[in-house]
Amino acid sequence: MSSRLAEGRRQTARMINGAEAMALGFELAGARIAYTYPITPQIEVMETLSRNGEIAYVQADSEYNVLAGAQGVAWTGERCAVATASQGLVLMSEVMWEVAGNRLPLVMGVFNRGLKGPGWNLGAQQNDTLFMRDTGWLQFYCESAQEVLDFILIAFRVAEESCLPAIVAGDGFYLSHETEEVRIPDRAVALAFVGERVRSGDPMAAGGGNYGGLMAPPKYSRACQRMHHDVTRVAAVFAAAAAEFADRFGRSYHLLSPVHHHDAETVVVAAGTVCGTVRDAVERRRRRGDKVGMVKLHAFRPFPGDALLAAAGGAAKIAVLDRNLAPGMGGIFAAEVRLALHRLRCPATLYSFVTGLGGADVTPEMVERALEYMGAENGRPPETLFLYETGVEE
Amino acid sequence: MTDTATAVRKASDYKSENKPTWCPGCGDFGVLSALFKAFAQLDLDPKKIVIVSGIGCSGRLPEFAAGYGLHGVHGRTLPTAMGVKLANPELTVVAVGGDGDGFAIGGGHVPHAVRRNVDITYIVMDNEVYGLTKGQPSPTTPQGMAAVKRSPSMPKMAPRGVPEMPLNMLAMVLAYGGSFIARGFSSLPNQLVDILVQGIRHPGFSFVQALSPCITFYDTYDLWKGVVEQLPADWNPQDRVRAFDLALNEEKFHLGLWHRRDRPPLHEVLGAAHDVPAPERRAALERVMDAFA
Ligand SMILES: Cc1ncc(C[n+]2csc(CCOP(=O)(O)OP(=O)(O)O)c2C)c(N)n1
Ligand code: SF4
Repeated sequence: MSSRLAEGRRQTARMINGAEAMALGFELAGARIAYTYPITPQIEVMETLSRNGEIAYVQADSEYNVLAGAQGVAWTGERCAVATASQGLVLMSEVMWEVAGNRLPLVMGVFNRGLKGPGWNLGAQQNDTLFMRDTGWLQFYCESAQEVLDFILIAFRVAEESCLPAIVAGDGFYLSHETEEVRIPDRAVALAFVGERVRSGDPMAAGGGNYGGLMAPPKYSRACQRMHHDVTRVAAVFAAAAAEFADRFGRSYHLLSPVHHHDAETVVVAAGTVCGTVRDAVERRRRRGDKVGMVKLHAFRPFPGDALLAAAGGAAKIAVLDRNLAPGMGGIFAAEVRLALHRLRCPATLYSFVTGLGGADVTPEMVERALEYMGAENGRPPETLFLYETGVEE
Repeated sequence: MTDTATAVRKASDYKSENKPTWCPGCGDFGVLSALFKAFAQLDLDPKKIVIVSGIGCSGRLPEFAAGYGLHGVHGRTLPTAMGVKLANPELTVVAVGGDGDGFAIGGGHVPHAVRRNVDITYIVMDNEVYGLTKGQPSPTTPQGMAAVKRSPSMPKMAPRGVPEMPLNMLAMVLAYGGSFIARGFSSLPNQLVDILVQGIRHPGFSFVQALSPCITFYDTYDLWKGVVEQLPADWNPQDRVRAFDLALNEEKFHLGLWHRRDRPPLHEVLGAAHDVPAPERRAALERVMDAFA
């Protein structure tokens, strides 16, 4: 055991829910100010922060103010705790672009919740964070409360090293409100891992740090290009940070994690809490001798296309389960996977299943039904399928 | 009142089939029933009423009313209500929402709806707390420990007291140039009905602060019963300076019609578009389309 791991082993196990884990993550990362506005299912994050009283806490007047305020905090070089969900996140949209463009390394926790489309909804759905796809924010998805805490710490490291803001997302209620045992790192070790906030790499700080003025097209386009490259380079920054995290705390993370993929003929790709359900279904099928595997996606930005193909490219069929929908296009993760398959000339047939919208339950039986559908279907599948308890629909 | 004598509709005609889902004892019940009574007194056709709300417990009100309702996103109540009224001035447009919806997230819309004098009635159901999100301090919650001590939820969010001073919505709306400003209390329904009748009749932006306690997260019934007081007998609603003076200095909640003055409503100022009868508008449109034929 390395001495660092021995040090990191000083972790306390506690039964907490995802919201408390998120709040603890911010505290351990050394956030000085918390900016939030109440919204279900994030309220427990702000309640924990305010109850613990370690971070100066501001209840803003709306999420618009939350992010504008947090941007101010980040500008001074301090760390800020920001958490929201659903409507709150989309209300922040304008400032989301600005924060990323200003290359401010904010970290925001989001508990995914359906947006007000056809009606109000409180259940888990990933459209809120996925809507931020093009802003330049990094996006990480979690399956457990432990991952929420760990990813907040890793996200601060990665965000600050790459001068890009990061979202750490998890399904509302399934994750925010479910209690599980979480290993909580020692404060000093956590802080040592996250490190000092260094501003030397900030591409916008050169020349006095005057941000946000009018930018002529040549400079603007180069700044956008640089942001693009910096997002793609995060894969390496993440790998280094995650390796150190594993070394200190004994938990190892990657942009994606495959299960039973080596000999899999069919691979199911998913992100978020639904991964537990998929794992269950895959294990059941394995026991029956089916060559099925899965890939859990931790990252949406950067999208780990190459790693995905390395893990699942040998399969004849790839299913993507999306708890989100872009009407007219289909599942959003599926669209990314489709693009990666195409770019890397992978011949696997893609099945895109949209499921669990508005927080509807996704059961292992439903995943098995999707696998059966794929087994029976040998032609070109429709671009988007909808997976319900009652079966598969177009 | 002559309206009552001639009215043919009853308050119950304005109910929808949806039963209110508010906590038993919530002040919002009083506001809803006062609104139905006001509609009945004015004998309004339910099909000519539009109720627009934002998000909050109070924002659920349109679901419980017959006629048209739009339960919109948090804080955008006034712009949507304004759009409806401008497009069809024949409709009676009522906007409802909480103190949070109107004065936190939606606060930026209030001055502009007031100064434009959009002809809608805006009822702020003020419970001095965020009800729907389970009891955080709102922009009207008193500063310090006073509210926290009365609330089962606020100690979680503000264990050391509410840090900010509350805003003064009546003084704000007076300063913005409000043309109808009144305050009622859900526990004094007759007065609230009267205020709403006058507010709906008023051609312009009618601002009604309806004190409406949240029995679950910040129960102010007893407190408010002790501090509400009618406006003085010699009160002149035209006297804006006196209204402002009281708004800035009151220690009690004064109920009644605080201020009223005549200003043309926005749809009349914008005029022209609405004055052209529909068939002529259509003919004009067809002429334009012909040019592309
Ligand atoms: C953009 C956005 N942020 C936050 C919320 C969560 N939210 C719903 S209602 C509400 C406040 C409710 O308080 P108030 O407006 O005073 O109405 P009440 O419930 O007390 O009637 C909040 C913060 C939301 N729906 N949308
Ligand atoms: S929580 Fe408060 S405001 Fe909401 S319905 Fe209950 S009593 Fe009314």
